[in-house]
Parts: sequence; structure tokens; C-alpha cells
Amino acid sequence: MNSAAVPVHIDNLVILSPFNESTKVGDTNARTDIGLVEPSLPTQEVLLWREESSLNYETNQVRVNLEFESSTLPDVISITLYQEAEYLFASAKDEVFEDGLDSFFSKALVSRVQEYGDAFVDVLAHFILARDANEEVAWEALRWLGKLSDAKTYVKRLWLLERSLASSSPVIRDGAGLGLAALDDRHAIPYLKLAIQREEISILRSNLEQVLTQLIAAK
Amino acid sequence: MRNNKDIQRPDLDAWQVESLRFTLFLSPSAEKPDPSLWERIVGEPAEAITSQPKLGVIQAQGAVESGVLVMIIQPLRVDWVYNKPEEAQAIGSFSPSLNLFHRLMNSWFEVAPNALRLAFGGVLLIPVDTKADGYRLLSTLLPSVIIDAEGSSDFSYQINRARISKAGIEGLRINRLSRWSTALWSGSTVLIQGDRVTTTPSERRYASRLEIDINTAADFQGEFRAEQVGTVFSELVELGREIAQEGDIP
Repeated sequence: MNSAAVPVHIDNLVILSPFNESTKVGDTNARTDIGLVEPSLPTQEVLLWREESSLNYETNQVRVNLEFESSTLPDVISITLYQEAEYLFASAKDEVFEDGLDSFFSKALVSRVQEYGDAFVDVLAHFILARDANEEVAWEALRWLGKLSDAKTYVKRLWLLERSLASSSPVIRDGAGLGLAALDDRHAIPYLKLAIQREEISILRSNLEQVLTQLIAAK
Repeated sequence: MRNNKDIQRPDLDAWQVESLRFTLFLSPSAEKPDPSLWERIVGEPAEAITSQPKLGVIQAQGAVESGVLVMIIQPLRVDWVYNKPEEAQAIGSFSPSLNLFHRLMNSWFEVAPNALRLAFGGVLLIPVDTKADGYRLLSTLLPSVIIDAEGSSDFSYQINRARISKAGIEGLRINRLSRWSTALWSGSTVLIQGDRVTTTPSERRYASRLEIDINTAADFQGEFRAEQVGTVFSELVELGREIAQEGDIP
């Protein structure tokens, strides 16, 4: 809370209510559109929470929206999920990964994707594409994003793997290729072709070509 | 007591714009958008560019006429949001605000990355005196809904009436998501004394509220090339305009 010695008086602070008269934030799958805010906090609490570091209330307006299947409102990266991914990646950085074998990390990753769905894949996308993750762990994550069986996150996992082919990190590009080989979806063919054209590392290009051959042969 | 039928359907420009949004979901093959494009689109440098490297998020923003334009680049998507200024209740009426936003976006489409999915969104308001007035106004726009303006509360109606696109792209379906409600803004005076915060309610304002989210369906398998993005966006905008003018129609 504000620690000023004298009382601070603010007139006409407008607290944006939810979209109708008495709906309250937080009890359902509410979310806000201002970024890093834990969706489960009620509006008023969010506002007061942000007062700690700022008296500029005008920037603290929080709008609440409920999620629906066809909505394209901005996603909120949950602090909790982000921290969970951060912890998961940090814990795994000394683990040795081997192709074909489970790891502590892979088991934890698979369970979280299955539990949290697209929201967790979104966090992984931010984590991997922003190059904030340890590359070896990201490599393992991409492999398992292709291997794991979870229909509800399929489209987003496919997107992340295809997008990761354009990463500036060869380790991440390699992981993406392995993940796409596991997913075995012809949708990735044009992105693999593009990645092969751009690839300057011959061994990696060769690996991607093998994946491409496999996908072309896939039904 | 006024009857719901006594009220006329509002003109398009009775709607005040709280925000407009264009969202582009990046294709896996898309180049990461460059925030310096802001200047080319707006005609002057952004007032602020902020970056959250750990999340891969870059945000540029600046005042544009009576609103604030924000460009948010994330790993999965790019959002352009035209918001009301913080101290105002709206940017202005619907048509001029939308025309300006559309013109700005057209400048971006010349250099836009390839996309998997596109969306046009907005939050529109018509100020009313009371909640019941808000319900009566909504009833003129929602022919399939009977609203008891005096005897009910917490009305919220949301529907997606998808249509097939007329943009000439095979298999493209467009979601026409609209949400109708009466919003209440309650002003409060906050007194902070040391660790103690007391909040006293004061002003209350009502408005009929329409949120639109017109977007290409997530199951579309193709990509939108840069030259198609503008065409599809224009169609999304027209569908949004139709909802604001005609209400909830199939």
C-alpha cells in the first residue's frame, strides 16, 4: 500500500465494472486484457494491488471478458502458468535428454499441457519463441509437443512447432523438426520446405529433409 | 411506464466507440513484425515503445486524433487497438472513428505479415439514463429477445451468427460474435491513509453496450497472404457495421 505520511485523496477514480451490472470477476473463467494479471483476482483487488507501485489509477483500468470458443480477445499470460513453466524449465536444465526416452521434464510437461490445454502451450510459445528458455530444454519440449497425445491442443502445438522452424536458434529448429516428425502432419510441408531453403547448417538441413520426405509420404 | 416498442432503433452514429481492434494471428512463415513500422503507418514516431523480452512482447503506442492507438506484437499475434483516451468516455461516434482506424490499417496491410486468422473487434456504447432505458434500447436491436426492462437485471446476450465469407476464399467461414448488455460504471472516491484504503461509491453511469468480435474461423486451414488481409478485413468491418446498425440478425 501507499506509504506516504500524509493522506492521499483521489477524486473520481473510475473503477470499470464488469460488462453488466453485477457480474463479478474471478469466479469463472474471467480474464482481462491488460496483460500480466492473474485472472482470478477480482477487479477491485487488481486495482488496489496495482496501487502499491503507482498512483496513476488511470492506467489501472481493467476490463473483464468471458471466454467463448469463437472469441479472439487478447490472451492473458497467467502469471501462475508462466511461473510454472519457468520453474519447469529451470529444474530441467541439468537433466540429460535422450531421443526415445522419457525424462522427468517430459513427463511434467505432458501432464501440464494435458491439464491446462492451450493456455499452457501459449505460455510455452512465449517462452520458446522469445528465446527465454534454455535451448536444450526447449529442444526437449518441442520434441514432446509433437509426441504427446492431446487432441484439444493439437492445432496450437502444430502452430508452435511450425513457427519454431524459423527460430534463430539451430537447436530450437532441430527440436521443431523432430516434433513435426512425431506429429506427422502434412500441414507442415510448406513450412518445412521454407525452413530447408533457409537452413545454412548442412546436418540440420539434412534432418529437416528427412522429416519432409516422411511427411510427403504420410497419408 | 414506457413500452419497449416506443423506442426507435438507434442510428449507427449513436454508438460511441470505446475501442476498436484488429488482430492478425501470425502464420508460421511470417516475419516478425517490426515496431518501427508504426511511423510509416501513423506518420509520426510512437510516443512510447515498451518491450517485455522474457515474453517476446513489444508494444508501441501514441495519440491519434481523439484516441490512443496501440500496436502489440506477441509471438502468436499482432493486435492494433484504437482506444479511448483514459480520461474520456469514448473516442467519438462510430463512423468517423471506424473510418480512421480502417485507413490506418490499410496502410499496414501493404506490409502486413502472412496470417492464419484475422479479427475485427470493438466495444461500442450508447449512454442512457437508467438501466431500464438501456434495456429498452437493446430490445430494438435484439428482435429475437424479449427483455423485461423494468423487472429484470443483469441482462447479457451473446451470440455467434457465423456466415460464409464473400471474399472469394474457398471454405472461409466468418464468426459474427456479438455481446449485448447494459454497462454500469460506478465512480468511487478512494482515500488512502497509510496502509488503510477506503472506497466510497459516487457517480453511476449507464450505457447500452455492444461488443463485437468478427473473425475468421479458427478451423480455416489456409493462410491469408498480405494482399488478402485487407480484403478480408474490409469484409469483417462491414459485418461489424451491419451488427451495430441492424442489430442481431441472421
